[in-house]
Amino acid sequence: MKISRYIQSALVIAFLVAGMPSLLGQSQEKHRVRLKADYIKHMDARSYLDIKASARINKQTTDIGGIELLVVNEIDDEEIELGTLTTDQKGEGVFALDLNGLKADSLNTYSLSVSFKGTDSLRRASRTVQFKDAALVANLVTRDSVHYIEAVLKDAVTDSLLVEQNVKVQVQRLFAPLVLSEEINLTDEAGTILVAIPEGIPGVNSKLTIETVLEDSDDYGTVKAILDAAVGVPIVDESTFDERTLWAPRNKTPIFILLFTGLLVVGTWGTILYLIRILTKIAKH
Amino acid sequence: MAAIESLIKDLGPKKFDLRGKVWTVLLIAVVVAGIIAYIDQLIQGQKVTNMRDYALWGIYISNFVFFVATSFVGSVTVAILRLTNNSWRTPFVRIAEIIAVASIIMAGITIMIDMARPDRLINLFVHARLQSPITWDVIIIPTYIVISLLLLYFPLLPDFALLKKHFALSKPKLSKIYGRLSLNWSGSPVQKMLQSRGIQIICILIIPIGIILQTIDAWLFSTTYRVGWDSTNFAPYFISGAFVAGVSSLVAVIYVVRKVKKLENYITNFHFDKMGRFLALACFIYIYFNINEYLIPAFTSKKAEAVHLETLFRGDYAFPFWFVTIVGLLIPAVILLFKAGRKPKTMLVLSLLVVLGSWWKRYIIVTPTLLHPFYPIQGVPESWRTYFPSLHEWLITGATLAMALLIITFLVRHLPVIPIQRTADEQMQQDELKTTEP
Repeated sequence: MKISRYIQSALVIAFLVAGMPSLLGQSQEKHRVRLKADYIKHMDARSYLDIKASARINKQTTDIGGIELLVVNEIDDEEIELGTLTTDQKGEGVFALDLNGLKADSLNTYSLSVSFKGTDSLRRASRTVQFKDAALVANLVTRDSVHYIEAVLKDAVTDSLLVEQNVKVQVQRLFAPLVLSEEINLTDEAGTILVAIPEGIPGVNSKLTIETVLEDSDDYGTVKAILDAAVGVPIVDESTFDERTLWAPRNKTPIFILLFTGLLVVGTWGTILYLIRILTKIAKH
Repeated sequence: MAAIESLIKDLGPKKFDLRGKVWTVLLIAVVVAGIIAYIDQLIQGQKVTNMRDYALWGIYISNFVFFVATSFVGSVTVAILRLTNNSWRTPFVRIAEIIAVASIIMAGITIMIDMARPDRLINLFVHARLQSPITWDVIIIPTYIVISLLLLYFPLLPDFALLKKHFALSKPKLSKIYGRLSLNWSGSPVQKMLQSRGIQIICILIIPIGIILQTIDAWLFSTTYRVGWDSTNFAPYFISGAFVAGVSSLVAVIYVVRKVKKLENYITNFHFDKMGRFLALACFIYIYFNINEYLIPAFTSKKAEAVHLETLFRGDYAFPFWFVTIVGLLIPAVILLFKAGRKPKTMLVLSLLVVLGSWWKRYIIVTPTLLHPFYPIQGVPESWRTYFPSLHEWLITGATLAMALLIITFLVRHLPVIPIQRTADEQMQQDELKTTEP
């Protein structure tokens, strides 16, 4: 009897010892989510939060897709829910903002929080973004036959010029922008920058799409002014996509191939039919 | 009439003796083995072959090119000899026409064997791109088959009529078949005129079509930007190679048929001498094109070309390359320059060497190039870097070659291998000449 109790106790202990790591493991598997949120403003277009969710899983940074995030406008003790968004497969999401509908504090600073309430495997997380509203106005100016981009940066609420802010000028390209300005290109006392556009940059119909960017500013986030200027060298379209070529699809076969092959086929098979007719004539005689 | 009967006895269809039967059974056995292998290939897919990502054209395509080449001379040589009215052509034109028919039919079948999904053959027509040499190939091969059949059939009409009469009493069923095939041939002037016109048209037609066929075959390779194929010389190179393959096959078959059917009085040493000269000429022209094909890239020695040539001259393909060049081409060409080299037995040995060389020549045209892409081979198992045909490929290829020989055997068995009526007419003309001479 005593022995059986010992055995029972030993089995219970063994069960607990065996089960403990898995219980512990479950709690350890809950991963911390990292949220990244950047405020981006396109002048005369839209403003939005560019959000990315990731987590460190098995020593690798993994995109967290399909999670729901809540965006809240925080002001003093008040919290105004702006809406939710769900991240895509890359863990990314864009939340459109209407600055007129947002409330700023007394220093004209907007405060938005992005939060994730957590799941069984992911911990809750949040990120706060603070920014002021800036206005960037870019223009194309020409002096002594040289084209320049002149841009003025102001605080949109106070209308005060923003000095010593790094503003980049770049041309939109297919894979990455072509930066025209110096690495550090600060606004002067008039909140202005002036960057020359080099000659010879190719563009479709000579059109260059030039971006003037206040990038990732601590106070104002990212502000972009986009300008189309016909100051590039026109790209000559050398594509034969719509032409009848030897390498085109079959519906664009060159006419000479159609004619030559067609004549050969018709000529040869016509002669063959004539030969068969000769055979029938021989049979009749 | 007695003379014709004598000719029919000599040249007409005869039952096979034991050797003939054993030969036929042997060929059928090889064909059956190939069919079994092909069925397995259909079930399992092309994985039973050793063709992979890089060597995507293997022994089937080289065999196809060999068949196309062989079919060329059978028809074009005969057509040229007919148009130029060479009287010495008579004893072997039909054999040449038979070889042409057998080869081009097997070329068509071989290309279908190479397709992993022959049930999708119709797509080649439905989705044809007329700019593609493959589409031209799909058009030209059936065309060439039909023209080759017509070239064989038209001159046979009078002989079918003779055989119909000959077998009327002894074998009425056979006589009936020959009668149908003769298309009521009576030898009337109108029929003769129509037949002559027909043959004339085919002989003219088959020359450009034959050249186009070889050219398309060459362009299948040279229009792809690959080392060893990217050559403007390729079409004439293929045409001259086709002459070599075709004439040598013809000589070999003529020798065997002459021996088996005891036709020494009809196919004489004179004919072999003529064919020997013809083959020597073909070999030397082909040697000239070979020098062009290999010497110029060796001089310019672009990196990829240099690697390719190194493989051929001293590397993995050196043995077949030098065998083809020296044993299969150069030595026969030189020996054929001498009268003793143009004796029937010597010609048989030489022609067999040339045929063997011609087959391997296609192999070294197709395979080494595929294993030398411009971009380095990577991301594939080590075994995919080389190619040697699998057992399935050998069995199926062997079967296609056996099938070609079987078609030749069948036609040689049932058709007069030398035109009876024409031989009779020629003999009559010679007799008339003798009697009119003072």
